[in-house]
Amino acid sequence: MIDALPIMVSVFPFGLVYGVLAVKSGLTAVEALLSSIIVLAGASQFISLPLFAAGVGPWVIIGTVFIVNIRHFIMGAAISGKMKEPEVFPRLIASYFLVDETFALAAAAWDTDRTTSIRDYLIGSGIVAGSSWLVSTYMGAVFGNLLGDPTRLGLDFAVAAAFIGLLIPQIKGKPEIVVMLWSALFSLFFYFFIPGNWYILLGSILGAVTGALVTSDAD
Amino acid sequence: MRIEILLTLLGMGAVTYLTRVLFIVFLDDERLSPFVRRCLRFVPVAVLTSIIIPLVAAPGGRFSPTWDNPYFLAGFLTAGLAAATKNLVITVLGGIGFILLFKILVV
Repeated sequence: MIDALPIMVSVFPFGLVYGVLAVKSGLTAVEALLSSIIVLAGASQFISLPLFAAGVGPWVIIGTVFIVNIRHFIMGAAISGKMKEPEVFPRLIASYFLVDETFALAAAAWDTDRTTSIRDYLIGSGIVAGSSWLVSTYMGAVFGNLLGDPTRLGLDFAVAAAFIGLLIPQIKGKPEIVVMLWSALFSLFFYFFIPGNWYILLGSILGAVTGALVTSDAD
Repeated sequence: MRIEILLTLLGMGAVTYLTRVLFIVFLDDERLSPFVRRCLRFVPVAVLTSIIIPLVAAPGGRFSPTWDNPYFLAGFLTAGLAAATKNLVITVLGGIGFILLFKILVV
């Protein structure tokens, strides 16, 4: 759990930003907090905000969130191979705490110390990171309610700025740039020609496929 | 607390948990083809781009990738700021600063 203190600190401002933007997107502070408890996935929760703000239907939001989360397949497959304990119930609990940050910590832990229980490590670091996420979400939401009209304060752009801040550090090379360009084209196309805000879902799937087409397993 | 929001959140939580639990509890690790693994690697970049581009290049549903669109301009500078700092809080605050500035300058 001591290992998780840095992510406790790094998650906190992220949760504050989420809380502020959630209330500016029309959720109440309690709904924002519930989102952090029920979903416990930063990227998915952020991505749902412009959709909630646009008032789109629940299936579009749930479908988009699913696509954002299919990266958990890879993380789950990797971490499952490192879990020695076969019991189902503790694994069901550990699964809830599989987030980007705890996965990164667990991956570092199984590289350095093979005696650690990866399952318990995931639960421990998840409790630390998760509690920081809940507290910061609620604080951000309460603070966000004190701020005034979102458009006047430039907060309508804040969601886009947050996504830009998440995207740019992930651009590591040419394949990512190709994915970016194609996702941009696909999303704009579906944004204008398909009604109902499916553009994120469709743009993401087709963009990710172009990435797989321009790379090989040797990369 | 609105019931339709609660149900949407429960649906979001259910699909999120499903993606987490599938390989940890129910499936073997080796069930994904290499092509699918490569697709999954690019999902975060593809998702984020698909959200950002319509927000900045077509705010309010009107396609305007031009310099007199404050969202487009602010999007570019925010990306530069993100590349320079790699810090989410600075990027968001800087982005808010850019959009306020350009809304004053452009309009």
